[in-house]
Amino acid sequence: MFRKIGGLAAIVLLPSLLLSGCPKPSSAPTPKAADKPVVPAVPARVETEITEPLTGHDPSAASPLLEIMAKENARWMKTFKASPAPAYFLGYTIHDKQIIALGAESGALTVDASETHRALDVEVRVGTPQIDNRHPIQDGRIAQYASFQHLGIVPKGEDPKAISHHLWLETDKRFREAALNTRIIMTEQQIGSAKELPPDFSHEKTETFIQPLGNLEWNRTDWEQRMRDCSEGAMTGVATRGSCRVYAELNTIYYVNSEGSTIQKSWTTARLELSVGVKADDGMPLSRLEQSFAPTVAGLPDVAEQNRLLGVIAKDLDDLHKAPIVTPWVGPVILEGRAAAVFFHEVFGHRIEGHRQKNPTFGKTFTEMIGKRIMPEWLTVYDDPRVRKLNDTYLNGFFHFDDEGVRAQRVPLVDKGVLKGFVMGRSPIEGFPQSNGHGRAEAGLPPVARQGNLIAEASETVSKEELYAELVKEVNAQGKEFGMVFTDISGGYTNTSTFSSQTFKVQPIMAYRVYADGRKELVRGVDISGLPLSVLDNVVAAGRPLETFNGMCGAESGWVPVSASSPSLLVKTVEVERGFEPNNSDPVLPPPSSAISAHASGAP
Amino acid sequence: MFRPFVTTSAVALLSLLTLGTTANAKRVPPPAMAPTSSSVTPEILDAVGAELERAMSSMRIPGAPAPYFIGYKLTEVDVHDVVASLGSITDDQNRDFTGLEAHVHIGSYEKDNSNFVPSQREGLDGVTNIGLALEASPARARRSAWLATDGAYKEAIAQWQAKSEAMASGVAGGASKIASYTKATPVVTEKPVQVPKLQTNDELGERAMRLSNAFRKYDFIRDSHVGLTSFLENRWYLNSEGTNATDTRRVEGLLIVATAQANDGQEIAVYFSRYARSRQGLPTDAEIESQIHAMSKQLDAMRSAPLVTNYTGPVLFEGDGAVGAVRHSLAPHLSGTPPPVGISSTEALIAGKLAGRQGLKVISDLLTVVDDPTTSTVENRFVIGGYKFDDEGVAPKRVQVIKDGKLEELLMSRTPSTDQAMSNGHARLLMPGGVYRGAATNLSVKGKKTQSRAQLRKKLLAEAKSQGLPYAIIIKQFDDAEITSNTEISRVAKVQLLQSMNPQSPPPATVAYRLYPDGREELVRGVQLEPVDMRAWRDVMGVGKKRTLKNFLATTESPFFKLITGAGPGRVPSAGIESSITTPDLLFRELDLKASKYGLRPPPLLPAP
Repeated sequence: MFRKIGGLAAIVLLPSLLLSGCPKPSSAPTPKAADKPVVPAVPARVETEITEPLTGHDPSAASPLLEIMAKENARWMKTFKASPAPAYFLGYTIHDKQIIALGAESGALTVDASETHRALDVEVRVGTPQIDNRHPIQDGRIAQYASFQHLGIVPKGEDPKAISHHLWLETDKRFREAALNTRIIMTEQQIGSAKELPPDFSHEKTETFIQPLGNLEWNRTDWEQRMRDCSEGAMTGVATRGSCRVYAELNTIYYVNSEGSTIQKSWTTARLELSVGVKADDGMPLSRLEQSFAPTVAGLPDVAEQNRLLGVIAKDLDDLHKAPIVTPWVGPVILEGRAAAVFFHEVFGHRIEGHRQKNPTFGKTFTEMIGKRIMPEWLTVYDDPRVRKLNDTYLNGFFHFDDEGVRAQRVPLVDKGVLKGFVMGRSPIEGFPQSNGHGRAEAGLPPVARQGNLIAEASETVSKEELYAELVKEVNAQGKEFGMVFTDISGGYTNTSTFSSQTFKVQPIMAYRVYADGRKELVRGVDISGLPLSVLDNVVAAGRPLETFNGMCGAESGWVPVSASSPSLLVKTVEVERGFEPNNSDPVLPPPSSAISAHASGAP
Repeated sequence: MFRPFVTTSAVALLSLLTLGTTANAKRVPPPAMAPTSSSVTPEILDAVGAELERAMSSMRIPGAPAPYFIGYKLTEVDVHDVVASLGSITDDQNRDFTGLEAHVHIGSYEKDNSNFVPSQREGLDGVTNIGLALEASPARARRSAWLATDGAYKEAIAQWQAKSEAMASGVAGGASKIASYTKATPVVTEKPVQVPKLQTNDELGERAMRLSNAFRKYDFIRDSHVGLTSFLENRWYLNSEGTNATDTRRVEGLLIVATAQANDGQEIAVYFSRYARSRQGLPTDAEIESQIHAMSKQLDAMRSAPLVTNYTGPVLFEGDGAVGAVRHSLAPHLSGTPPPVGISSTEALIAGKLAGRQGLKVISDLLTVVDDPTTSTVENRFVIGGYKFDDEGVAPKRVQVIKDGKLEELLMSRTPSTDQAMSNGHARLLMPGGVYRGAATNLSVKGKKTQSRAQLRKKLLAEAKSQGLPYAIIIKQFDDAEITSNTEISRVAKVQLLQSMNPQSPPPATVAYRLYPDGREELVRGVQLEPVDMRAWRDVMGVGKKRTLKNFLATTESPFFKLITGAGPGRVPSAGIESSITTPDLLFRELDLKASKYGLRPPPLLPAP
């Protein structure tokens, strides 16, 4: 699942239905050469700024917390060895988070928060690396409890007695839960016909990385007034709702494990969020959200750029308000930069997360396709959390080390159309025994393999005009009245559970019909859905330049920051659905006069 | 306070139970006052009031009944919470928000949409909530009122339609002669209520850290924390009958919890809680530190205490134990609000067993029960359950609920019953179906033919002997799941526990003793009372001379659910209904209790560092 923060509500897919008899694809599809337009070998521009994981390592900046954690960890490991249910691995993570949020609507502050939190994660592995307490539990009724977030308590500060006491307390709790899970798993192994799976846990290299603690710097007074002014400016055109928010975070992670790894990483992030909304005349709620990410508050758009972005979304909203509603349709489409990026993340990215190739409840779309072509040969895809900046844009999925103490690595996923690998955490799969630094989680949840910075590069691209021309050609060839272009997407989700079909859905905000004469018509209420293999098989051309979608991705290990970058894509056949239309009628009374006076251009 | 035959641990506990009642009104210097609201100003109230008038005069959907009553409750909440463990902060929260709750009733006072829960659509109740800006913005406030009123009106129409069909089909008992809602005398106040200003998080944090240090020397304690909360809720009531009034809720809270494992591995906990209207109403640091040491000794004694065995016989509730008996098995039944039609049978069962029994003897004639939201002190000690206006903006009345065992008047909101038509200003809890339920505020139980604690114990032993029992049971404290429940049992076991619990059972007793004929007290663990039927209250055979006062926050959720969820990891419960109970010790002739092995598990592999 991928979304803009604060955008559409998160949708969690649960295996609630068992569909029997759904055949899996019997062989890998191969793009048909005849379908492919003739495009020049012009690669899309990809300029990356890479920060190697050990950059900034400064042992003198180590917090005393690390020593307290290591000491308690060692004390437990010594005891575990003599336990009847031995634990072979113990990891401690202390999460420090400082959050600032300011938001305004109609010129008045509505959000004003300044918080600091500290939480503890303890990972205890009971059993052996081959089979331990993290082995998939078959009984869904028991397995569901593992999905609850579980944050341990650990005091702030650095007092050894207080910290080590709470480390001890949480370790004792987690060990008991881990031992119970192991007993359940071993019983399932005894009574079931469980086939042998790859090991549950991989041994990884010991790492030491100490990053000096970051600082959250900002001018609160300036931002208060800026948000008030911004939110007044947001109420233009047809907008009946407008808000501006700024968020800033300082995250510091202290990680110690029983293999000897010690990591202290500290970084800041900032986000500016501009949102406008209105109801269409038929009652459909419409909204536009624009988000900007930066490593620091100072790096966020300045007032001029903020106002330019507001102008863009306000105009989009005005246009959407007048736009006709879409009708279901199938035909050729262009996914422009950011829309293509979300499309890649949902259609492809979630299916190459390592643990999904292993757990029996997942559909395993690509599990047996290593070495086979799954997309055009001019496409190469990789995930690289080391990329700090791509084509001048900061990437949200940047990190030095993952949440299992493994250094971030570039992972080749698709090379010239051929599947090469998976993003891996410390849960090995057939042919991929080690992590590649993608074990990620939100605090309180166990890490699994997740995307970081997913980047799709095209070695053959055309200009935007040429891509549109190719679309028109395809419209004519298919005898369609029009093709469609999607320029922005609010989010999407994909189902990887084996209990229902392996579909994806992305939700474009800005969707246009493009007619054979080149005319563009904005429509609203659009969803795109489909099956991953068939849609990748239908990608026929790429445009320039590469664009990035920064956001947050939600899955079983919680919300993690990610990015996806892609060139625009021409897809030969995509199915367009009519999206959900909430039964929201307009208010009975018109807006109150006092609200009308707050509008620059009158009542909605 | 001294009694013969009391063990060391019992002495420690007595000091624990006595401490909070000594913080009396005479000692309190006048505190600094909180500033008036900057987010809900007279201009905001004018804007919201204008929208209320507009909606009353012109908000109509053709073919649907029109609103005959619209009410708004605006709230501005400022909460400062801090928790510390072993001298360091574990949680530090500062929450500040402002909101508007809109109530729309359609039809007429005689027959409206309210007090009905449409099947599978609990959310349709004619009530909507919306956030307001933190800064005074009349245009935005009016806009929020417009949207909230519109939403509540549409819900009310759907609720009306479902209620009408259920009534017509006889599913809901057919047409009722009872009116749906009663008129209330409009109230207008202009001046805000002055309350002491909040303590800052820094002040709370410094104190919590200092106090929690006292647990450091007790190595057998697993988890311990000291929580402090300081919160303020300003309220404004506006309605279409002309009410325009303001009121304030203001509470300071202190919560201390310590847990350990008994020698057989059972999880055990002790807690201490005090609430007051200002910092000065809480115990002093020296008193709290002494309390922490008493609690630690108590917990230590509980480690080697035996598990109770099943028991049927007389039970004496002393101090906080008597408060718990009143809180969990008498207070819930004092509401006169008829339960909403369509509410689940489990929810309907828990409360309201005295409805329709006015004039009858319902409890022992030794007891008289009064609920008084108009007072701020009981026996010269501060109570937190009072207010100027209840949740429906109605001025409250002192209600003599039960006199000498006979039911006189139940606690009412504006939703009438067959026996009582008018509100007496006790609306406190929003129920499914969109109505407020009458509930206790400052509940005071008084007895006659009262006896000293020593005499009560003698009577207890005599009764046990007459029932052929070798000992009797004394309960001194019940668990408060909202405070203690950071249980360490696994999630699977928690769910199992929730499914197997009787929702009418009171919480487990945290401090209980066996009393032997020779006067010896034996601390026991695992005491779980079976549900205490109202009938058992008729058999209260002894009442103590001295009364215990306890301020607390009544949970708005099921206590069983709270047992599973608690207040969240390491949090302070600062949300709930401000309440107090003052009661003498109570001797019941016969109750059932069973031994609970809840929380039994092996000791840790490794001692604390």
